[in-house]
Amino acid sequence: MIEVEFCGRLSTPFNGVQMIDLPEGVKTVSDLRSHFERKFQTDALTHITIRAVVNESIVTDIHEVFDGDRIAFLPPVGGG
Amino acid sequence: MEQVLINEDPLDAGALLSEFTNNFPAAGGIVNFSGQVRGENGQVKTLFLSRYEPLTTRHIEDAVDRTIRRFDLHGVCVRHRVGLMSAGETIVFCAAAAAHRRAAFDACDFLMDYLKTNAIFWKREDGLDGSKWIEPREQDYKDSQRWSPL
Repeated sequence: MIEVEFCGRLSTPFNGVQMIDLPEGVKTVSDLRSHFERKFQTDALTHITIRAVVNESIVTDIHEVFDGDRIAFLPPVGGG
Repeated sequence: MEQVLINEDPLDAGALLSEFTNNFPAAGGIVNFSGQVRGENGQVKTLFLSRYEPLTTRHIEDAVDRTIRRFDLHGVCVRHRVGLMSAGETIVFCAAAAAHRRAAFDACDFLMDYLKTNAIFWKREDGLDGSKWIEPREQDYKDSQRWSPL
């Protein structure tokens, strides 16, 4: 299982936090973005401003993902 | 008194300032700022603030550490509310204690600029015209750019 959290304005189109089995063929953050965009019929995750976090570190799209990872997608912050 | 605390509890700025002041009797100057949810003349009914833990708190704690070193402070306190808030409610409280007033003023100003533009929060306004996610204003970014990197 992996935990994927969609933060801020991404929470509505992607249903907030999801616990899912690592989808077949998904090896990197980039693969995961594509997986969710296909699943939810949107291109909201591929914009350059959407950062990915894996296990509390901000990572690039080539970062590999594994079973047990805690992943988040962060849109630009809105500030406090 | 924790330096940084983020939760859904209502904030009492007066009580926080009193507690903070009591913690730093040797400080020559204590400055505080409290921010409230703007009602925008009735257009905004509620504000929803979300975060991503553990990054949000950790990054603010790092900013607090940098602020203490930069302005040679006795101490800092940051309280930030998340969740659903109504217009007029306190959303953030920030206080700095220093030997002299200028450092305390500048530290609060510096920290608030960080919180307004870089802290990991997302804000959604719910009003008469529906809901919208909002981002920092151009002025917020300009304010933040006043500070030279260390």
